[in-house]
Amino acid sequence: MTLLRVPFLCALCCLAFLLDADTCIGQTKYERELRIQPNQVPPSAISYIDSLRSDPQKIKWYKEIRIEGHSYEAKFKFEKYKYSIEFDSTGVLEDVEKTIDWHEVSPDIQQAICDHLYAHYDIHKIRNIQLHYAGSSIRDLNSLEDLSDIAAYELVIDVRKDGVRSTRQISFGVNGSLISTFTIINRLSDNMEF
Amino acid sequence: MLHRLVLSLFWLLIVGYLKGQAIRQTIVQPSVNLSHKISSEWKLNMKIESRQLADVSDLEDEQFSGYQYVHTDIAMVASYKSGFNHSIAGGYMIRIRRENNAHRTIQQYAIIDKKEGIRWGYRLASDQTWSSGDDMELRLRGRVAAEIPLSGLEIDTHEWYMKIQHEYLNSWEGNNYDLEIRLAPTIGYEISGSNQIEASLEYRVNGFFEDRYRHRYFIGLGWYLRI
Repeated sequence: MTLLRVPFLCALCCLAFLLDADTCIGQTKYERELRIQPNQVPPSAISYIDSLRSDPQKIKWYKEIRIEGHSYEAKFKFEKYKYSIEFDSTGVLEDVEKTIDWHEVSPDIQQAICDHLYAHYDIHKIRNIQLHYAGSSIRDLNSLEDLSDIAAYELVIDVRKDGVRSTRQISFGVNGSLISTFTIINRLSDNMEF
Repeated sequence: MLHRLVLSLFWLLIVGYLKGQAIRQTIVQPSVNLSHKISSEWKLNMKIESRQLADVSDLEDEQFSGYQYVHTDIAMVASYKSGFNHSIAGGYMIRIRRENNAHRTIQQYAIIDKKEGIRWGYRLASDQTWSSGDDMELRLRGRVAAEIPLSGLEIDTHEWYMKIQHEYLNSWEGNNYDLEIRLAPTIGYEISGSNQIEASLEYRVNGFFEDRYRHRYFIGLGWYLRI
Protein backbone atom coordinates (compact mmCIF):
# COMPACT_ATOMS: atom_id res chain seq x y z
CA MET A 1 0.00 0.00 0.00
CA THR A 2 2.85 2.33 0.77
CA LEU A 3 3.89 1.84 -2.84
CA LEU A 4 0.93 3.98 -3.87
CA ARG A 5 2.24 7.06 -2.18
CA VAL A 6 3.49 10.17 -3.89
CA PRO A 7 7.03 9.14 -4.94
CA PHE A 8 5.72 6.03 -6.61
CA LEU A 9 3.09 8.00 -8.49
CA CYS A 10 5.71 10.46 -9.65
CA ALA A 11 7.70 7.51 -10.97
CA LEU A 12 4.60 6.24 -12.74
CA CYS A 13 4.07 9.60 -14.41
CA CYS A 14 7.66 9.52 -15.65
CA LEU A 15 6.81 6.10 -17.04
CA ALA A 16 3.86 7.71 -18.82
CA PHE A 17 6.32 9.72 -20.88
CA LEU A 18 8.30 6.59 -21.66
CA LEU A 19 5.12 4.90 -22.86
CA ASP A 20 4.43 7.75 -25.22
CA ALA A 21 4.48 6.09 -28.63
CA ASP A 22 5.56 9.24 -30.43
CA THR A 23 8.61 9.56 -28.22
CA CYS A 24 9.55 5.93 -28.59
CA ILE A 25 9.29 5.41 -32.30
CA GLY A 26 9.83 8.93 -33.60
CA GLN A 27 7.31 11.30 -35.10
CA THR A 28 5.27 9.92 -37.94
CA LYS A 29 2.40 12.42 -37.84
CA TYR A 30 2.82 16.02 -36.92
CA GLU A 31 0.03 18.53 -37.21
CA ARG A 32 -0.54 21.26 -34.74
CA GLU A 33 -2.47 24.49 -34.52
CA LEU A 34 -1.05 27.39 -32.54
CA ARG A 35 -2.76 30.65 -31.66
CA ILE A 36 -0.63 33.55 -32.90
CA GLN A 37 -0.74 37.34 -32.88
CA PRO A 38 -1.50 39.37 -36.05
CA ASN A 39 2.09 40.66 -36.18
CA GLN A 40 3.25 37.07 -36.78
CA VAL A 41 1.08 36.77 -39.91
CA PRO A 42 2.25 37.74 -43.45
CA PRO A 43 1.02 41.33 -44.14
CA SER A 44 -0.68 40.26 -47.38
CA ALA A 45 -2.94 37.91 -45.43
CA ILE A 46 -3.85 40.64 -42.95
CA SER A 47 -4.69 43.14 -45.69
CA TYR A 48 -6.75 40.55 -47.56
CA ILE A 49 -8.89 39.83 -44.49
CA ASP A 50 -9.27 43.57 -43.80
CA SER A 51 -10.45 44.14 -47.37
CA LEU A 52 -13.15 41.48 -47.02
CA ARG A 53 -14.69 42.67 -43.80
CA SER A 54 -16.49 45.80 -42.88
CA ASP A 55 -17.23 44.97 -39.23
CA PRO A 56 -14.67 45.34 -36.44
CA GLN A 57 -15.17 41.90 -34.84
CA LYS A 58 -12.11 40.16 -33.49
CA ILE A 59 -10.14 37.87 -35.78
CA LYS A 60 -8.28 34.94 -34.27
CA TRP A 61 -5.12 33.92 -36.09
CA TYR A 62 -3.66 30.43 -36.01
CA LYS A 63 -0.52 28.89 -37.43
CA GLU A 64 -0.99 25.35 -38.65
CA ILE A 65 2.24 23.36 -38.63
CA ARG A 66 2.60 20.19 -40.65
CA ILE A 67 5.55 18.04 -41.76
CA GLU A 68 5.44 19.56 -45.23
CA GLY A 69 5.33 23.16 -43.99
CA HIS A 70 3.01 25.60 -42.35
CA SER A 71 0.03 27.79 -43.18
CA TYR A 72 -1.94 30.60 -41.54
CA GLU A 73 -5.61 30.58 -40.70
CA ALA A 74 -7.92 33.44 -39.79
CA LYS A 75 -11.08 32.53 -37.89
CA PHE A 76 -13.87 35.01 -37.33
CA LYS A 77 -17.61 35.47 -37.30
CA PHE A 78 -19.26 37.60 -39.95
CA GLU A 79 -22.96 38.23 -39.65
CA LYS A 80 -24.26 34.88 -38.39
CA TYR A 81 -21.63 32.68 -40.05
CA LYS A 82 -18.26 31.42 -38.88
CA TYR A 83 -15.47 31.75 -41.42
CA SER A 84 -12.07 30.17 -41.63
CA ILE A 85 -9.70 31.56 -44.26
CA GLU A 86 -6.42 29.78 -44.93
CA PHE A 87 -3.24 31.22 -46.43
CA ASP A 88 0.01 29.50 -47.35
CA SER A 89 3.29 30.32 -45.62
CA THR A 90 3.82 33.37 -47.85
CA GLY A 91 0.33 34.79 -47.32
CA VAL A 92 -1.29 33.59 -50.56
CA LEU A 93 -4.96 32.68 -50.15
CA GLU A 94 -5.63 28.93 -50.32
CA ASP A 95 -9.09 28.16 -49.00
CA VAL A 96 -12.23 29.74 -47.55
CA GLU A 97 -14.55 27.75 -45.26
CA LYS A 98 -17.96 28.84 -44.04
CA THR A 99 -19.96 26.98 -41.40
CA ILE A 100 -23.65 26.63 -42.21
CA ASP A 101 -26.70 24.81 -40.90
CA TRP A 102 -28.14 21.70 -42.53
CA HIS A 103 -31.32 23.51 -43.59
CA GLU A 104 -29.19 25.93 -45.64
CA VAL A 105 -27.95 23.12 -47.88
CA SER A 106 -29.98 22.94 -51.09
CA PRO A 107 -32.58 20.12 -51.18
CA ASP A 108 -30.94 18.21 -54.05
CA ILE A 109 -27.56 18.18 -52.27
CA GLN A 110 -29.28 17.21 -49.01
CA GLN A 111 -30.87 14.31 -50.85
CA ALA A 112 -27.56 13.15 -52.36
CA ILE A 113 -25.80 13.35 -48.98
CA CYS A 114 -28.63 11.49 -47.25
CA ASP A 115 -28.62 8.81 -49.95
CA HIS A 116 -24.93 8.20 -49.30
CA LEU A 117 -25.28 8.20 -45.51
CA TYR A 118 -28.28 5.86 -45.46
CA ALA A 119 -26.56 3.52 -47.92
CA HIS A 120 -23.29 3.29 -45.98
CA TYR A 121 -24.18 3.68 -42.31
CA ASP A 122 -26.80 2.31 -39.94
CA ILE A 123 -27.09 5.52 -37.90
CA HIS A 124 -25.64 8.98 -38.48
CA LYS A 125 -25.67 12.33 -36.71
CA ILE A 126 -24.32 15.42 -38.43
CA ARG A 127 -22.16 17.51 -36.12
CA ASN A 128 -20.92 20.24 -38.43
CA ILE A 129 -21.19 21.38 -42.08
CA GLN A 130 -18.69 23.62 -43.84
CA LEU A 131 -18.82 25.01 -47.33
CA HIS A 132 -15.46 25.11 -49.09
CA TYR A 133 -14.59 27.78 -51.59
CA ALA A 134 -11.26 27.50 -53.39
CA GLY A 135 -9.25 28.50 -56.48
CA SER A 136 -10.63 31.04 -58.93
CA SER A 137 -13.91 31.50 -57.05
CA ILE A 138 -12.16 33.31 -54.19
CA ARG A 139 -9.12 34.82 -55.93
CA ASP A 140 -10.87 38.02 -56.95
CA LEU A 141 -13.24 38.13 -54.03
CA ASN A 142 -14.22 41.59 -52.79
CA SER A 143 -16.72 40.71 -50.12
CA LEU A 144 -17.75 37.64 -48.16
CA GLU A 145 -21.31 38.17 -49.38
CA ASP A 146 -20.06 37.50 -52.91
CA LEU A 147 -18.94 33.95 -52.14
CA SER A 148 -20.73 31.81 -54.67
CA ASP A 149 -18.78 28.98 -56.29
CA ILE A 150 -18.82 26.16 -53.78
CA ALA A 151 -15.99 23.68 -54.21
CA ALA A 152 -17.13 21.12 -51.65
CA TYR A 153 -19.34 20.36 -48.66
CA GLU A 154 -17.36 19.05 -45.72
CA LEU A 155 -19.34 17.30 -43.00
CA VAL A 156 -18.25 15.98 -39.62
CA ILE A 157 -20.57 13.11 -38.82
CA ASP A 158 -20.93 10.57 -36.02
CA VAL A 159 -21.78 7.26 -37.63
CA ARG A 160 -22.52 3.69 -36.63
CA LYS A 161 -22.01 0.79 -38.97
CA ASP A 162 -22.30 -2.88 -38.00
CA GLY A 163 -22.35 -1.88 -34.33
CA VAL A 164 -19.14 0.14 -34.56
CA ARG A 165 -19.34 3.85 -33.76
CA SER A 166 -16.91 6.37 -35.23
CA THR A 167 -16.60 10.00 -36.24
CA ARG A 168 -15.99 10.71 -39.93
CA GLN A 169 -15.07 13.75 -41.96
CA ILE A 170 -16.85 13.28 -45.28
CA SER A 171 -16.51 15.63 -48.26
CA PHE A 172 -19.07 15.88 -51.05
CA GLY A 173 -18.72 17.70 -54.36
CA VAL A 174 -21.05 20.39 -55.68
CA ASN A 175 -23.32 17.76 -57.22
CA GLY A 176 -23.39 15.73 -54.00
CA SER A 177 -20.89 13.12 -55.15
CA LEU A 178 -18.50 11.67 -52.57
CA ILE A 179 -14.99 13.16 -52.63
CA SER A 180 -13.32 11.70 -49.57
CA THR A 181 -13.89 10.07 -46.19
CA PHE A 182 -11.57 10.24 -43.19
CA THR A 183 -11.99 8.75 -39.75
CA ILE A 184 -11.40 11.21 -36.94
CA ILE A 185 -9.63 9.66 -33.97
CA ASN A 186 -11.28 10.96 -30.81
CA ARG A 187 -9.09 11.76 -27.84
CA LEU A 188 -9.28 9.86 -24.61
CA SER A 189 -12.25 11.15 -22.61
CA ASP A 190 -11.72 9.24 -19.35
CA ASN A 191 -10.56 12.41 -17.61
CA MET A 192 -13.99 13.91 -18.28
CA GLU A 193 -16.06 10.81 -17.50
CA PHE A 194 -14.51 9.31 -14.35
CA MET B 1 -20.84 30.77 -17.21
CA LEU B 2 -17.65 29.40 -15.67
CA HIS B 3 -16.68 32.66 -14.07
CA ARG B 4 -20.11 32.80 -12.41
CA LEU B 5 -19.54 29.37 -10.93
CA VAL B 6 -16.11 30.39 -9.70
CA LEU B 7 -17.54 33.57 -8.18
CA SER B 8 -20.37 31.72 -6.44
CA LEU B 9 -17.92 29.27 -4.90
CA PHE B 10 -15.63 32.11 -3.88
CA TRP B 11 -18.63 33.68 -2.13
CA LEU B 12 -19.25 30.43 -0.25
CA LEU B 13 -15.62 30.40 0.77
CA ILE B 14 -15.88 33.92 2.18
CA VAL B 15 -19.05 33.02 4.07
CA GLY B 16 -17.18 30.03 5.50
CA TYR B 17 -14.38 32.21 6.78
CA LEU B 18 -16.77 34.78 8.20
CA LYS B 19 -18.48 32.03 10.12
CA GLY B 20 -15.19 31.78 11.96
CA GLN B 21 -15.40 28.12 12.85
CA ALA B 22 -13.94 25.66 10.44
CA ILE B 23 -11.73 22.68 9.92
CA ARG B 24 -9.18 22.94 7.15
CA GLN B 25 -7.47 19.96 5.64
CA THR B 26 -4.81 19.72 2.97
CA ILE B 27 -4.82 16.38 1.20
CA VAL B 28 -2.52 14.84 -1.37
CA GLN B 29 -4.34 12.46 -3.70
CA PRO B 30 -2.47 10.87 -6.60
CA SER B 31 -4.35 8.53 -8.93
CA VAL B 32 -3.81 6.21 -11.86
CA ASN B 33 -6.67 5.66 -14.29
CA LEU B 34 -6.33 2.80 -16.76
CA SER B 35 -8.93 2.05 -19.41
CA HIS B 36 -9.27 -0.74 -21.90
CA LYS B 37 -11.60 -0.61 -24.87
CA ILE B 38 -13.37 -3.93 -25.26
CA SER B 39 -15.39 -2.87 -28.30
CA SER B 40 -16.50 0.41 -29.89
CA GLU B 41 -19.23 0.57 -27.22
CA TRP B 42 -17.79 -1.10 -24.13
CA LYS B 43 -14.78 -0.15 -22.09
CA LEU B 44 -13.37 -1.08 -18.71
CA ASN B 45 -11.89 1.52 -16.43
CA MET B 46 -9.70 0.87 -13.43
CA LYS B 47 -8.78 3.59 -11.00
CA ILE B 48 -6.33 3.44 -8.13
CA GLU B 49 -6.29 6.47 -5.89
CA SER B 50 -4.40 7.00 -2.67
CA ARG B 51 -5.21 9.70 -0.13
CA GLN B 52 -2.78 11.22 2.35
CA LEU B 53 -3.60 13.95 4.80
CA ALA B 54 -0.79 16.46 4.61
CA ASP B 55 -2.10 18.92 7.17
CA VAL B 56 -5.16 19.49 9.41
CA SER B 57 -6.04 22.56 11.35
CA ASP B 58 -9.05 22.99 13.59
CA LEU B 59 -9.55 26.73 13.67
CA GLU B 60 -11.82 26.62 16.70
CA ASP B 61 -9.63 24.49 18.97
CA GLU B 62 -6.39 25.62 17.33
CA GLN B 63 -5.20 22.05 16.98
CA PHE B 64 -2.83 21.10 14.21
CA SER B 65 -1.57 17.80 13.00
CA GLY B 66 0.79 16.65 10.27
CA TYR B 67 1.07 13.91 7.67
CA GLN B 68 -1.24 10.91 7.89
CA TYR B 69 -2.09 8.09 5.49
CA VAL B 70 -5.88 7.91 4.99
CA HIS B 71 -6.90 5.25 2.46
CA THR B 72 -6.48 3.75 -0.99
CA ASP B 73 -9.38 3.31 -3.40
CA ILE B 74 -9.41 0.68 -6.11
CA ALA B 75 -12.36 0.95 -8.51
CA MET B 76 -13.40 -1.02 -11.56
CA VAL B 77 -16.11 0.48 -13.77
CA ALA B 78 -17.64 -0.90 -16.98
CA SER B 79 -18.89 1.79 -19.35
CA TYR B 80 -21.30 1.39 -22.25
CA LYS B 81 -21.48 4.04 -24.96
CA SER B 82 -25.23 4.47 -25.19
CA GLY B 83 -25.06 7.19 -27.85
CA PHE B 84 -22.57 9.14 -29.92
CA ASN B 85 -21.69 11.43 -27.03
CA HIS B 86 -23.16 9.81 -23.94
CA SER B 87 -22.47 6.73 -21.88
CA ILE B 88 -23.77 4.80 -18.90
CA ALA B 89 -21.48 3.05 -16.46
CA GLY B 90 -21.56 0.91 -13.37
CA GLY B 91 -18.91 -0.51 -11.14
CA TYR B 92 -17.49 -1.39 -7.76
CA MET B 93 -14.90 0.21 -5.53
CA ILE B 94 -13.08 -1.03 -2.47
CA ARG B 95 -11.68 1.51 -0.02
CA ILE B 96 -8.73 0.05 1.85
CA ARG B 97 -8.33 1.65 5.26
CA ARG B 98 -6.26 0.87 8.34
CA GLU B 99 -9.22 -0.10 10.50
CA ASN B 100 -11.88 -1.55 8.17
CA ASN B 101 -12.52 -1.58 4.46
CA ALA B 102 -15.50 0.04 2.75
CA HIS B 103 -17.30 -1.20 -0.33
CA ARG B 104 -19.04 1.02 -2.87
CA THR B 105 -21.27 0.39 -5.88
CA ILE B 106 -21.27 3.09 -8.54
CA GLN B 107 -23.71 4.11 -11.28
CA GLN B 108 -23.22 7.03 -13.65
CA TYR B 109 -24.43 8.72 -16.81
CA ALA B 110 -22.00 10.96 -18.68
CA ILE B 111 -22.27 13.26 -21.67
CA ILE B 112 -19.20 14.51 -23.53
CA ASP B 113 -19.80 17.40 -25.89
CA LYS B 114 -17.45 19.61 -27.87
CA LYS B 115 -18.25 23.19 -28.81
CA GLU B 116 -15.95 25.93 -30.09
CA GLY B 117 -12.82 24.01 -29.18
CA ILE B 118 -13.98 23.44 -25.59
CA ARG B 119 -14.83 19.90 -24.54
CA TRP B 120 -17.65 19.78 -22.01
CA GLY B 121 -18.30 16.86 -19.74
CA TYR B 122 -21.50 16.39 -17.74
CA ARG B 123 -21.85 13.61 -15.23
CA LEU B 124 -24.72 12.44 -13.05
CA ALA B 125 -23.70 9.73 -10.65
CA SER B 126 -24.92 7.85 -7.62
CA ASP B 127 -23.14 5.47 -5.28
CA GLN B 128 -23.79 3.41 -2.19
CA THR B 129 -21.12 2.73 0.41
CA TRP B 130 -21.08 -0.01 3.03
CA SER B 131 -18.68 -0.55 5.87
CA SER B 132 -19.01 -2.56 9.07
CA GLY B 133 -20.52 -0.65 11.96
CA ASP B 134 -21.82 2.22 9.81
CA ASP B 135 -25.11 2.93 8.09
CA MET B 136 -25.11 2.69 4.33
CA GLU B 137 -24.17 6.01 2.74
CA LEU B 138 -26.04 7.05 -0.39
CA ARG B 139 -24.61 9.81 -2.56
CA LEU B 140 -26.08 11.63 -5.53
CA ARG B 141 -23.79 13.93 -7.47
CA GLY B 142 -23.79 16.19 -10.52
CA ARG B 143 -20.64 17.48 -12.17
CA VAL B 144 -19.79 19.77 -15.06
CA ALA B 145 -16.28 19.92 -16.51
CA ALA B 146 -14.73 22.06 -19.23
CA GLU B 147 -11.49 21.20 -20.98
CA ILE B 148 -9.83 24.10 -22.75
CA PRO B 149 -6.76 23.91 -25.03
CA LEU B 150 -4.03 26.36 -24.08
CA SER B 151 -2.80 26.59 -27.66
CA GLY B 152 -5.01 26.58 -30.74
CA LEU B 153 -8.47 25.12 -31.00
CA GLU B 154 -7.56 21.48 -30.50
CA ILE B 155 -5.57 19.69 -27.86
CA ASP B 156 -2.83 18.01 -29.85
CA THR B 157 -0.10 15.64 -28.72
CA HIS B 158 2.50 17.32 -26.52
CA GLU B 159 0.21 20.25 -25.72
CA TRP B 160 -1.00 21.65 -22.43
CA TYR B 161 -4.63 22.18 -21.54
CA MET B 162 -6.71 23.49 -18.70
CA LYS B 163 -9.66 21.74 -17.12
CA ILE B 164 -12.16 23.08 -14.63
CA GLN B 165 -14.55 20.80 -12.77
CA HIS B 166 -17.43 21.84 -10.57
CA GLU B 167 -19.49 19.34 -8.65
CA TYR B 168 -22.37 19.20 -6.19
CA LEU B 169 -22.48 16.10 -4.04
CA ASN B 170 -25.44 15.18 -1.84
CA SER B 171 -25.05 12.43 0.71
CA TRP B 172 -27.38 10.66 3.09
CA GLU B 173 -26.20 8.43 5.92
CA GLY B 174 -28.79 7.28 8.42
CA ASN B 175 -30.77 10.42 9.27
CA ASN B 176 -27.98 12.77 8.27
CA TYR B 177 -27.82 14.76 5.05
CA ASP B 178 -24.78 16.63 3.83
CA LEU B 179 -23.93 18.71 0.80
CA GLU B 180 -20.43 19.07 -0.52
CA ILE B 181 -19.39 21.53 -3.23
CA ARG B 182 -16.22 20.96 -5.21
CA LEU B 183 -14.22 23.08 -7.58
CA ALA B 184 -11.12 21.72 -9.27
CA PRO B 185 -8.97 23.81 -11.58
CA THR B 186 -6.57 21.45 -13.34
CA ILE B 187 -3.63 21.71 -15.67
CA GLY B 188 -3.11 18.80 -18.04
CA TYR B 189 -0.57 17.62 -20.56
CA GLU B 190 -1.45 15.49 -23.57
CA ILE B 191 1.37 12.96 -23.89
CA SER B 192 -0.53 11.26 -26.70
CA GLY B 193 -4.19 10.84 -27.72
CA SER B 194 -4.50 8.00 -25.18
CA ASN B 195 -2.13 9.17 -22.47
CA GLN B 196 -2.60 12.25 -20.28
CA ILE B 197 -1.31 13.55 -17.00
CA GLU B 198 -3.06 16.14 -14.88
CA ALA B 199 -2.27 18.16 -11.79
CA SER B 200 -5.09 19.79 -9.87
CA LEU B 201 -5.77 21.91 -6.83
CA GLU B 202 -9.28 21.00 -5.77
CA TYR B 203 -11.30 22.84 -3.16
CA ARG B 204 -14.13 21.06 -1.34
CA VAL B 205 -16.46 22.53 1.23
CA ASN B 206 -19.15 20.80 3.27
CA GLY B 207 -20.80 21.09 6.68
CA PHE B 208 -23.43 23.59 5.52
CA PHE B 209 -25.97 22.04 7.88
CA GLU B 210 -23.65 21.67 10.84
CA ASP B 211 -22.23 24.21 13.25
CA ARG B 212 -19.05 24.63 11.22
CA TYR B 213 -17.71 24.16 7.76
CA ARG B 214 -15.03 21.76 6.63
CA HIS B 215 -12.71 23.16 3.97
CA ARG B 216 -10.54 20.66 2.16
CA TYR B 217 -7.80 21.33 -0.37
CA PHE B 218 -6.78 18.40 -2.54
CA ILE B 219 -3.51 18.37 -4.40
CA GLY B 220 -4.19 15.86 -7.12
CA LEU B 221 -1.92 14.21 -9.64
CA GLY B 222 -3.67 12.00 -12.18
CA TRP B 223 -2.43 9.75 -14.94
CA TYR B 224 -4.95 8.60 -17.57
CA LEU B 225 -3.84 5.83 -19.89
CA ARG B 226 -5.67 3.70 -22.43
CA ILE B 227 -4.15 0.22 -22.66
